[in-house]
Amino acid sequence: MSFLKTLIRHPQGAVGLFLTALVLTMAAIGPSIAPLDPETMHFANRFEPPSAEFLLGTDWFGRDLLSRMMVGAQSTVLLALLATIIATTIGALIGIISGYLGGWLDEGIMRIVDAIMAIPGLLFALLIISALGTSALNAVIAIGIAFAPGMARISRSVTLQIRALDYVSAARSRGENSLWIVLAEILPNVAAPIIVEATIRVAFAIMTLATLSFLGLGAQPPSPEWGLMISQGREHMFRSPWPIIVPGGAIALVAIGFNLLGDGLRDVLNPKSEH
Amino acid sequence: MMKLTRRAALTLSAAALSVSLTLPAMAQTAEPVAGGTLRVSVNITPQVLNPMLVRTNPEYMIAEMLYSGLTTLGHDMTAQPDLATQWHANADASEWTFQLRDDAMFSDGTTVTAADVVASFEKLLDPETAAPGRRNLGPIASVAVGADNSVIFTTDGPFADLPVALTYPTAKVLPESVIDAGFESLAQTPVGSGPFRLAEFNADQSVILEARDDYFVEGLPYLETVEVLTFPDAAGSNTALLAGEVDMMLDVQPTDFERISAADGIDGLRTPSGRFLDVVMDTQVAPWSDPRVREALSLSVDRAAMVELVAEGYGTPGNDSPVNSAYAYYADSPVKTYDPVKAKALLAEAGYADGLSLELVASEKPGYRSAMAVVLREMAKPAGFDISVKTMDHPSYLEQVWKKGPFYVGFYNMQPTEGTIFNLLFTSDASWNETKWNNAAFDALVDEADKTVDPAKRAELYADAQKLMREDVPALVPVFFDLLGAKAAYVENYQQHPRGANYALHRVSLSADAPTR
Repeated sequence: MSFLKTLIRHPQGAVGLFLTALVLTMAAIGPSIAPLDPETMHFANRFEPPSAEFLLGTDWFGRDLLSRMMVGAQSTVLLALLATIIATTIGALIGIISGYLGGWLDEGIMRIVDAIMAIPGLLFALLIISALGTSALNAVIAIGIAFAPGMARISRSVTLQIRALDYVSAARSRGENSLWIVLAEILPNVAAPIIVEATIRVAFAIMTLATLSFLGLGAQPPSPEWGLMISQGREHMFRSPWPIIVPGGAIALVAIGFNLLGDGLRDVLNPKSEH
Repeated sequence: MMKLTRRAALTLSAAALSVSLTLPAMAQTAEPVAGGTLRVSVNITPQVLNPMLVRTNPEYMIAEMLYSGLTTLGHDMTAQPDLATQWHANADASEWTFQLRDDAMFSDGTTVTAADVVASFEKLLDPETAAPGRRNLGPIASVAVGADNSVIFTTDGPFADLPVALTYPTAKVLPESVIDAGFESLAQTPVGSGPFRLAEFNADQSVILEARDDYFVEGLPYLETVEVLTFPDAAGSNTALLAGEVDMMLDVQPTDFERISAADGIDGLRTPSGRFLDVVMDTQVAPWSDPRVREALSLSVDRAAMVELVAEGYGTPGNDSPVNSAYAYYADSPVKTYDPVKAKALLAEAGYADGLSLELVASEKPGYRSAMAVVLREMAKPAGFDISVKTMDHPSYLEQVWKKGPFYVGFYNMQPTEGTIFNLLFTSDASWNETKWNNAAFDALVDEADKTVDPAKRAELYADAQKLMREDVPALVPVFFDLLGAKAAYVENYQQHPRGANYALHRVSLSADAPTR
C-alpha cells in the first residue's frame, strides 16, 4: 500500500495509474457496457458527428464509434499486454541465464541477440507474420518475439550487477545449485527494473499492434481493433474525421498512460531516487 | 445508352468510321496539340507484359499501347477497325473475311502480314498458352490466310458477334517469328504494332512508353511519352493528382469522387457500366452445392442499401446476373427484395437451422471489395449466416483464392456482349469457371444465342439465361459500379470506355496550357 501511495505522490505516476486503470477497466467490462452493438449499421446515420444518440459520432457504415472503441479496447489492449508478457518472459529468461552463466556462453547468446536487435522491431515482426500468416494472434506472437531481445539486454545488464554482490557469492559458497540461485537470489532483485521496462513496452506494443493492423496484417475487418479502425477510416477522412479521431485518440491515451506509469514506477522502485 | 445500333451492322462491311466514333465532340474545335508527357496513375501494379496473358486493367492499357488487334471496341460496343480495315461474313455468319491494312509495322521493323495474324490466333486458341479469355473469342474452328492480304475465320456454326469478340484485350497480333522462336521473351521485350514502344519497365513503380513515329494511323499518337505510375494507396494517388504530380487517374474510389471532381482544374469522369462485384460460391461443395443456401444468401442482401454503402451511390443494384442495362439484351426484372425471414427458413430447410459459419475472402484492391464483404456479413446475420471476413493483398488473392476458393468477392469489367461475359465466367467451359455451376440448360441457351442471328430470338434466349441465373444464383451480383476516374482539365480527348478495359491513349492530347516539364 505504501508503494501505491508513493506512486500517487509522483504526478507522472498518478496520471499514468489513472489512465492505465481506466483502460484496463474498459478492456475488462467495455463490451458489456457499450451502449450499442459495435457492428450494427445504422444506414440512415452515416458520418454523424457526436450527438446525444451517438456520443462520439458514427462511421461510414453508421456504426457507433463509442461502442466500437469500447469493444475494441479489449482486443487492442489485452493483445498488447499478451505480447508484452511473451516478450518479457522470453527476454528475461534469456537475459538472466546469459548474465548469470557468463563467459563464452554469455558472449555467444548476447551476440545473437545483438544481431536480431539490428533488425528494426516492426520489420522483424513483419518477417515473422509473413512466415506465420495473417491473424491477430500471430501479430501478438510476432511482436512478442520482436521485443524479446530488448528485454534480454536489460535483464542481463541488471543480472551482471547483482551477480557480483556478496549474497550471491554467499549462496554459491553455500553450495546452492544454479537454478536455485537464479530463482531465489537473482530474479527477485532484477524484477523491479524488468517490470518498469515492461510497462513502457506495453505502449510500444499497442502502437506496433495498431501499425500491423493498419497494414492489414493483424485484426481483420469488421473487428473494432483500433489500428484497423484508423486504417479503414482513412478512406473516408475527408467526409468525416471522427472515425479516425476516436481510435487515434484512444491509442494516444493508452500509450501516454502506460508510458507515464512506467516512468512513475521507475522513480518509485529505484532506491537511489528515494530521498 | 448503347442499346441502339450494336448489332445493326451485322454482316455488313464496317467502314472505317472509327475516328468519328471514338473522338469526343470537343476534338472538333481544334487540331490537338502534339507532344508532351502524360502521367497516368494506376492502383494495381502492372506485372505481366505478354499481351496474350494480361489480366488486369493497367496491363490491358499497356498491352493496348504496345500492340494492335484485328478490331477494337467502339464506345457503342461495336467493332471498329484496327489492323483490319474492313470485314464481311458469308450468308449465315459462319465464315468471316478480314481485310488487313498493308502499312502496319511491328516495332522490330517487319510488316504485319496475314501469316502473323493466323499464327497469333492459333497461339491464342492453343489451350497450352492458357490465354485468359481464350473462350471469349468465339467458336473459332480455323483461321487461314486469304487472298489479297486478308484472313479468313471459320466458326463452328453461325457466330454473329465475331468482330466484337475479337476486340478482347488479349487478342493482340504478334510476329509469327516471335511466337515460334521466343514467346517467353515477350515477358520482357514487347514486339508489337501499337502506337507506343516500351522505354522502361520498373517493377512496382513505373512503366514508361514512347510514341512510335511509324504508327499506321497518320498523325497519331499525339503524346510524346506516357508514364504509367503505380500508386497502391488511393490517398497517395488522390494527392498526386491534386498536387499536379500525375495528370490522370484511371480509377477513383467512390468515397473520394465527390471531393476530387470538385477540385480546381480537375475533371471527374463518370460513365455507367456493367462493371460489377460478385460473391463467388463454389457450387460443387457444401454448403453452396445446395441451391436453397444460395437462394438464402441472395435474399439476405438489401441491394439498394448496398449501392449506397459500397458504391456511395455511384452504381445500380444487381439481380444476380452479370448483365445490366448497359448491355443490349438486358432482361429487366424487379430487384430482389431483402427477406431475412424467408432466408432463415430456407437455411433451416437445407439443414442449417442453427446457422452457418463461413469465411469470405476479399482482396484489398479495390477497397470496396472488403466494404462489400463487411456489409454482406452484417446484412446476412439475421438469416443465420455467420460470415467472417478475411482480407488479402491482391497478388496473394490472385495466386491462392481466385478461381480456387469456395467463397470470395470477385470483381469484373463489363464485357462487350452478353455472350462474352457468360462464356468468361458462367458456362461449363468458361475461361474462369469459378462457380463450377456447370448448368447444362444454361450452356445450351448461351450456345444457341451465340449462333442466332435474329435479334428478337437472341433477346429471348439471353432473357432465359438471365432468368436462370437469377433463380439458381451461381454467384451473387448485388452491385454494378459506374466507372469513376479523374483527369486534369488540360488532358484532352480522353473518354472513359464503358467496357473499362479500353483506353485509346494514342488519341489523348494535352492542351496548349498544360504545364511544361
